[in-house]
Amino acid sequence: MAITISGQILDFCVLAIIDRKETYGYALTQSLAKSIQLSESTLYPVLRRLRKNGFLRTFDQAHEGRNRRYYQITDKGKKELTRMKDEWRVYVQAVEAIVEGENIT
Amino acid sequence: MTVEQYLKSFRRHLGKMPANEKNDVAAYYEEYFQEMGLGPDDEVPSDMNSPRSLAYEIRRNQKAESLTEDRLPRPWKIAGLAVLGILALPVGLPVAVTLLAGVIALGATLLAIFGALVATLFARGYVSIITLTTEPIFSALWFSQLGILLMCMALSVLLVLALIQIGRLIVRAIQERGNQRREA
Repeated sequence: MAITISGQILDFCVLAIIDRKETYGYALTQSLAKSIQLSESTLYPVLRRLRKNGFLRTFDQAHEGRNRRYYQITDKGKKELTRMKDEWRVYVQAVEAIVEGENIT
Repeated sequence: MTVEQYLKSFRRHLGKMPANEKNDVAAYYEEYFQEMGLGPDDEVPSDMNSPRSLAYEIRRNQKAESLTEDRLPRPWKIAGLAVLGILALPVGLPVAVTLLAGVIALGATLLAIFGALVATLFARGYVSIITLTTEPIFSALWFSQLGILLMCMALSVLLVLALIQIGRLIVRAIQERGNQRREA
């Protein structure tokens, strides 16, 4: 994909993935890397921010003798995701209206 | 570079950061390598960014975030400022009054000096006019008094012009400030 996904849209994508299933850092990177370009430094700040805002919580689980930190969506995070989905529709329509030249006054 | 070296260098390049933040981010990347199936002594994949640039990216992000977030919600900020203002009143009020009094005193002094100058010039001019009428015309004293009278008149006119100019400057400065505030 030629358009870079970053900032709020990336937050939105990550939240949507974790909403479907709790996951850990590496697996999340893998599932996102299928559709968008990522570097190692992309996801950590997103996860940190979402957690800090109370949209995600973490829990540690042993896996083959090592630790895995799982990320899970909170109720606040679910509300935020719903809000972002609405915002996203408005955003897409606004961009399309501009690009297709409709409703421009 | 081995994974162990990479993580060590990464931690070092993170620089000053709260210990828990640092441990958090280091643990994240340690786990990341483990999930890739790499142990401490394995080589880091060559397509990975250097530990320095990774640390730089993390720091840049955290800095940007701490800049955008308001530590206190707005109402609390205003309330805090109000409380501070009230607490500072015992000191602030006298200082403000003193400053205001100083400005007024300075203005009054300047006006008084100006008034004294004008009064002196008028008095001297008046004396000259009296002398001109009593002394014989074209005598040495008569001429000297005429000279003094002309000088007094010229100086008076200059003073008045200067005062008008100063007044104009002040008015213009105040107007400009008002304009700036309106534009802002």
